Amino acid sequence: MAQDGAFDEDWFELFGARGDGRGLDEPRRLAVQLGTARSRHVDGSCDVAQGLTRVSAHAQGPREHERRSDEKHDRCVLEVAATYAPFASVGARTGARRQDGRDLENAVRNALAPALMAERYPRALIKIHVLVTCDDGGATSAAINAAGLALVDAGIFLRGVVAAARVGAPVAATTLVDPNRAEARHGVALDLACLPCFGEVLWTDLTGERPLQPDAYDSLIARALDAAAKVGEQLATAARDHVARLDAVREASLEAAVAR
Amino acid sequence: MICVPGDDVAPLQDGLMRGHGTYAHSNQLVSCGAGRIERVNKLASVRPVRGRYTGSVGDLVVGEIVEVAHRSWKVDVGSTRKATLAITSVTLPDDAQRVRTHEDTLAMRELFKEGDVVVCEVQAVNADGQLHLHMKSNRYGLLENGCVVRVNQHLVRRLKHHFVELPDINVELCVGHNGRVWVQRAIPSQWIEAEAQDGGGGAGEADALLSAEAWRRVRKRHSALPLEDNEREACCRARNAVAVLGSGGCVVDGDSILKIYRASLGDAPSKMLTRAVAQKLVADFLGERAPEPMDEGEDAMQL
Repeated sequence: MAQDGAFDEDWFELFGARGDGRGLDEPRRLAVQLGTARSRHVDGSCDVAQGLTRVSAHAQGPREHERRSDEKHDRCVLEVAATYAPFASVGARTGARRQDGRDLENAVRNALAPALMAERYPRALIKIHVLVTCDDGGATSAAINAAGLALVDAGIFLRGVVAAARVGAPVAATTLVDPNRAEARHGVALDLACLPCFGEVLWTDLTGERPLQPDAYDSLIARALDAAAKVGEQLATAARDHVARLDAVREASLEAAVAR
Repeated sequence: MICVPGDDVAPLQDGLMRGHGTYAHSNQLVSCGAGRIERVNKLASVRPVRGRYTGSVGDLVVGEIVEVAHRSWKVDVGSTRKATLAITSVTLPDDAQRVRTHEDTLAMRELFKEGDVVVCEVQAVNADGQLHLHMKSNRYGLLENGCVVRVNQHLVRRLKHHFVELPDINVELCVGHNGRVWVQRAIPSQWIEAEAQDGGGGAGEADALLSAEAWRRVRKRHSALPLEDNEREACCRARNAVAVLGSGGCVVDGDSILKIYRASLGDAPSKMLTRAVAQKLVADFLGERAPEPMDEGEDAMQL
């Protein structure tokens, strides 16, 4: 294995596993929790952990704009504010760039806006705050997953649960699902957000050091869609369980209130 | 059946009506909200368990005045936009029935000013979700000498009486559909009877024994009378009972508040707000009906 933890073909050939023991197609363990925020100003919230990467998202809204001139008469506006905690990663973000989440804000907004049923909230504002507390690679897709579920928790209408996944091609012939920070350092990585229920791609982002052939790109997209579909199932299950539990408690309390 | 956005609700057949929380996507009715699927004959809809108050005509709401505008007040009821309370929708002092004059417009702060808590009813809902409120019933008006507790608005369902009195405890609550509950010491019934005998009788409704002016007098008298220590404790305990129900996800109505109140009598009211005690009160309240705790499994977040 390379010193910095990057993907090593020889290592993989020898041990049949990546540096952290995963197979090529194996994503990191995903843990999702909805409704984690305690503040009464937050309407919906979600914490997502993918391996060591941890992201927290809070959704507020729909509410009035602060300035009337920002309103859109027939739809709502989605605003995203994203920050990286100062301790989120070691050495990568320093100085003034340290907490700059602008790329992440754009990614989350562009991924969620097509799924949001904006016409149902005319003249409204929906704000999402994303905090990355630990960045071990894949923070963008974790943030999109968390923000999407925060909207679901807030009761905001979406066309479907938005799922995001990342695939990387550190060397030309190999595709990894859900590369961590070290693995994604070399080669190319593709982030993709989709609506798994319809197989519709909402947003993609390709980063990397070398150009990609069209068929290599197509195969990356296919792998990413596949990975996102699996993530989408887990997200939808977590959301359904959360909602089912709230509903079950409410129903139980209805009976308990009238009981002797 | 619980659903999340993107789940199929029903195939779109002849006559199937799209209810709240759904949308059509190639021959299927798909959910766009998270909640319980409800099917009543040909109407399929999704009833959410989370989300801001949207409002429907006839709802009783408790709100806070945030702005005094030209001929209306802007009220914060927790919906998307601030609700409007027009000057024409409010009964004037002395129950005067007349056109509102310029002097009335200037004297609006004498009726309600910023920071006042009011109880009113939803008169109309705009297309963009803005609510128009009114106070045409005599029981609606300014609320003083009490406090507001906020709970999830889905925990308040349509009740016969939204003005709830806890028997033997001397506490009165006003449960708003928007999830805001007003808690105050109960107004002594002798005062109400005295006003009624003095000829302050109102016309019509069962809820409004007195005229609006008589209610104002009674409320002013109530707000001027300081609370005794035991009354203060009772109000605190009732307020905390509502907060406990809200944080536990239980419905908020007279019965449930009374049960939590009685169960908490062993401790000081402030103890009820600690997580452990609150969870225990809710667990005892639900008893055997409590749903199974979620199986955390391997995927639990190590928090």
